[in-house]
Amino acid sequence: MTTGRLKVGIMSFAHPHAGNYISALLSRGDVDILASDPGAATAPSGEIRGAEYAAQHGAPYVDSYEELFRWQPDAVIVCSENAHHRVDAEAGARAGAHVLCEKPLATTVADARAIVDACEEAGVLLMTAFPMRFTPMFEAARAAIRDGRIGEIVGATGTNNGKLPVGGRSWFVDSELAGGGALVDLTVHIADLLDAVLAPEVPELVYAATNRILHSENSAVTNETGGLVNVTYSDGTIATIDCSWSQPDSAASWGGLTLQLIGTEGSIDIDPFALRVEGVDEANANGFWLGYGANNSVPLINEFITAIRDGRQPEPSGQAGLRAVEIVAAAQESAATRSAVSFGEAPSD
Amino acid sequence: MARAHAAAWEAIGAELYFYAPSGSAAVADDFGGTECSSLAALYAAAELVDICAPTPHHLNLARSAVEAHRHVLCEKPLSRSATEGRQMLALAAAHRRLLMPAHVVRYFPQYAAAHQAVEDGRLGAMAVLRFHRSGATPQRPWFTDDNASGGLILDQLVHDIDQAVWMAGPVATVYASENRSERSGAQAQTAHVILTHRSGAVSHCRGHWGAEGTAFSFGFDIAGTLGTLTYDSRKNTGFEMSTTRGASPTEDGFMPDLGYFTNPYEVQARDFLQAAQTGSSPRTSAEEGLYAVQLALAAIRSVAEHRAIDVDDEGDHS
Amino acid sequence: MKVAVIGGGAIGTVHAKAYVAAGAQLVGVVEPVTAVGERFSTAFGVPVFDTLDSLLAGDNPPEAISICTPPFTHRQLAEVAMKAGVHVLCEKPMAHTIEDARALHRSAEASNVTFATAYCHRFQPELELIHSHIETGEIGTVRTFFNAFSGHQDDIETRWFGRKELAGGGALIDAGIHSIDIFRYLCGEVDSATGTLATVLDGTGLEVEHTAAMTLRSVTHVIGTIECSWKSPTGQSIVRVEGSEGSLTFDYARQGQVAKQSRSGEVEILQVSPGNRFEREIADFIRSVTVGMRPRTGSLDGLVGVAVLDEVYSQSDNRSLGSSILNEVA
Repeated sequence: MTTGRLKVGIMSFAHPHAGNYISALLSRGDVDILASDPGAATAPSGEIRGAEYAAQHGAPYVDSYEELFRWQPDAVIVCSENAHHRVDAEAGARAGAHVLCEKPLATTVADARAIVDACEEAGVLLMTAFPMRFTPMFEAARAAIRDGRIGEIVGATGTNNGKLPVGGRSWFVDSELAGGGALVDLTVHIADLLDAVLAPEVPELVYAATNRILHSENSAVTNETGGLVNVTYSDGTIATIDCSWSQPDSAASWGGLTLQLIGTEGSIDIDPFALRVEGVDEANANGFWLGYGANNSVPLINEFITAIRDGRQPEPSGQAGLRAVEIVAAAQESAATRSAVSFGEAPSD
Repeated sequence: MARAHAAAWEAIGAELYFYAPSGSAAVADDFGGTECSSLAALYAAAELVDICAPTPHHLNLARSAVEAHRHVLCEKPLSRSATEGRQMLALAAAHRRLLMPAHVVRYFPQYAAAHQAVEDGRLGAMAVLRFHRSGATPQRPWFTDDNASGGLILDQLVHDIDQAVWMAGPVATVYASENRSERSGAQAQTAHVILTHRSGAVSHCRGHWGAEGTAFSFGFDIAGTLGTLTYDSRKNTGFEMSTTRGASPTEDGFMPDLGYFTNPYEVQARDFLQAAQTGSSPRTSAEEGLYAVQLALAAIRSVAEHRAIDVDDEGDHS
Repeated sequence: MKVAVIGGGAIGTVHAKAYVAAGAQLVGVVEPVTAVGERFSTAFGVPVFDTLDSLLAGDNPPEAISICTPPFTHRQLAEVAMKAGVHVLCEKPMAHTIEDARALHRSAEASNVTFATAYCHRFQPELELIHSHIETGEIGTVRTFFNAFSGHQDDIETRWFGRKELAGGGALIDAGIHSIDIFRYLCGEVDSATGTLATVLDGTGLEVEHTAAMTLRSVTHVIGTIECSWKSPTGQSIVRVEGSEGSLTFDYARQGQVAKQSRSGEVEILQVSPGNRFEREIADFIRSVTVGMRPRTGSLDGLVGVAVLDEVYSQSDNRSLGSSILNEVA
């Protein structure tokens, strides 16, 4: 049990969620924050990073992680490029800070497992930032399923489709830094929602079909831009995830996420981004959306801080992050070998 | 299914004759048609034959019909096995008769509009396609008897497999998973088929036979290099009513609600009639019906073997 | 499910073992030959009945039966059982004559119970693999089929198998009827059939053929060549299907393996989990009865087999070209 004010460090602004977390933390009033974005120095020009980004979001700022750790944070939030999560999370754990890591937890299963191990060894808590878990629609779905309203789940279809994410942060399409293409960017959210709904069942077989037909004219894009991932779980439940950057550049919104769960006695469709007013104006001939859904970063940050104060495991855990990475890795292997990949033994849990 | 077809024939002014081994008086009465006592009598009376019998009977019925020199419209799936389907094509060819599989979804205006847009190049190259269809588990027992119907994949998903081919072309690889829940006593099964087309496009077809009371719904999401198209029968209905009298009993959940659009069974019947009379090409060829069966069988095999099936190139099916 | 076996001989014992393996409850055997009945009764711990009627009239009647008696008895037994509401798995051939086969098919169609014809080779896992490979186009368009079921059966011609009026024929109706069904399963419906029979053995004329060759043509013009023999000392059991893109071969001596040869000549051995075809056939029959599914092979499949053989037998009756040609040449 930790009382008093908590010190939370923000590591990197590579992921634009950093700003959401800063405002969610500041709105609590019981935490002090300090941010550092050493990667700003090498970020492409035109991307707002470093001190400027910190100033925009009202976060105190230091230039290096050394300075950040000298401040002795109780917790850190890792918002660096996917490929840097491991190094940053391990540094945070070594400094004795609890870790909230942006999704995906890592770009390889080995890295994800290393993060989980490092936090366990250091005796710090690890949480993976899957904000969709905190949408009221998903919570309502979970409650309905728990109450048996649609019987037993037999299958699911999830879609996470977005525009090619090149606008604010170009590293998303850099295979080194992102760890892959649309498969890595878009699979994990739904994989995690399914993990939460289907636990304790685990994936047994993964098949993925991908292509690079969309945006093939864009030379910056070297990875898959379209993909379908099929997962068979240990109780026979089957699910497919459409993880494609298939939202046209001209569309009214960045994209969206939907999940349909089919049960023996009914079905549930959730569309967390449905809370919106739709409009058209001269500047947006294809329309624009005024979303009025709650900011999911607030309950996510609250879960992290409350769990630290209560000394309990925050959810979604690092293990959940690891399981999502395992699905992505299996899907990547499947797409590369064009064959279904067996999970074999249940992932470590 | 016979009733949907009969209503379409009646609407376009055809003179109707019926035959069923168990008798067809009830249907004949409802549609002002004549019940025939034998297949021979049916073939003697009718110029065109529409086979609505369970899938295992398609081959023998199609054989006798073409031998009697009748053009044949045959309910989908064309056949229970590819071997039977090939025989039906051979028999139709030998007797120079038209054999048209009734892939009625091609005549649903939503799908026809999407196909036209794809053909016109409005979406650019096809990239990622999704098709879904839900309905109540059919009540007639032969549907849920795999030996007879081929189950959910061959009977229901064959529609969307055909759509995926229609929109994105021939297929190189088929992968499928299926879940038949025997839990909680409720009948529910679902299957997912992932097709990798020869063009590289990928398609997801999701089928579902749910418990009694499951509403019929269908739709698609098609993404190409130049744009996307989306349809969901649960939206865009054009008419919604709420009443304080509580939930109204819905239709049987096995057949779609045709809402306010042109009856696709009628358009299909007209297309068949025109092809039979003028020799024009119908929207669906027998080869395409056979191809959909082959892909569905590959999906069934994929479920059994837990692996992706490479589908051999047996000529141009486009 | 309560089941009984009609005919306690070799094939009846095979059925009984498969029922036990499937967890069915064996309630009796009908076997008029005392020694045979006793042996069966000891092996399976069930009472022996003289007739089907006494079995059905007893305290513990079966819900389903396997008919494992000589072919000339099949129709009558099956019709009695079906009339009593008992499901029937009938050994091949479905009947010894085309007339009986037609009549039995009509009775089965009119009945509310399940009637299955026991074509066990449809349940041979290796043939199922070949079937699924053909269905999904792995060997292209099927062109030819070859099947041999030959072996050495010492005294078979002296048992009921060698009596035309009991069995309906010889090696063809015994083994070749399986071949016809396998051909239909893998290549499609039979469009035409021809055959030739050997009935002279070591200078003795038999009532039925001990060796035969048969050619079948399917609707899609797949040509099937079939050899059956009771008197082949080395013997072979093999099924081979050739298509436009390659071939698939199953040699019954190599269980669990199917050889797939591509156009280029490359041979790949496909592995299959071996399975007992009789046990799988019985399991399918039980499933058909309990959940009301169609059995994999019903009465029509039984009738077609007999009809194809009837065609072959009628062509072969009393036909000998040899002497007339030789006379002309001389």
